[in-house]
Amino acid sequence: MVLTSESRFETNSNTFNSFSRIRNQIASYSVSRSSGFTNTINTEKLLTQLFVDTRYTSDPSEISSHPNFTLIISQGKSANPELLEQINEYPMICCLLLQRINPDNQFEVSPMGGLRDLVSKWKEWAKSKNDDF
Amino acid sequence: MTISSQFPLLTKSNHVITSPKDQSYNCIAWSLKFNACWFWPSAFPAYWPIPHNGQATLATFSAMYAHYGYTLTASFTYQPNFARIAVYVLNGKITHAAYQVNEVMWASKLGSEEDILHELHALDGPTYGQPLHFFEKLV
Repeated sequence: MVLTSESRFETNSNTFNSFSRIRNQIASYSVSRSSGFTNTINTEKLLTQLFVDTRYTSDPSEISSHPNFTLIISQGKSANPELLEQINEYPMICCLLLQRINPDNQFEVSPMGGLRDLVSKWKEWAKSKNDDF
Repeated sequence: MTISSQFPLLTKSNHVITSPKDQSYNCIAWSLKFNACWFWPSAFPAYWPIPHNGQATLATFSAMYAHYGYTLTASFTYQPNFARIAVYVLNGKITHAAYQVNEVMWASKLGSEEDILHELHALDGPTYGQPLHFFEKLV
């Protein structure tokens, strides 16, 4: 088989895609067998219940004094992926949690549009980190 | 936790939903018609336009509403030339605010949930208490 530079690139690209697919499958299998996956499920459940229980309140201290808030904080940075996954759905709760779990991240945002800007900053941060939590 | 258990006086005939759910803003912001921030005298990401001591008291809220030109009033009868805000209190604690729309209806953001139009006392109950304080400004 004669490979032109173009087809060589295509072959390399296909090989790379196959390799990536296999790597991702291995990664997801590993995650499914690790406590990280359990954490994700728990975080999702805890987050949903936290939202349901505090959905009519405006006082952030009522959110942060909820037992599920403390439980999610206790998971540390392993809760980050799920919080970032849910940040559009629960921006206030997720931003409060992400700030507590990642105190080194201080984003500058305009105060009046603070929450929406903050969500964008966290999403940018997540993008820059990829899977590296 | 159903909406009827939280707001036992809220019925299909005394309220209408006017927006989708959105956790980007809360009732206090919406009482001033802001919909991109979460007003509360608390640390960021909550927002308070003036310096505060972190206490959600009537004095703190009065100072905040005064910042936007509102003063305390006893009146909540609709007058087209007045913008009015009702502040709800439960067990001495401020829980909620709504702005007056017309003779009958007030506009509220239910925490992280929807915006609604409702009769003044339709939200009375175990979640928000009752509207005890009113603010007004000439428009």
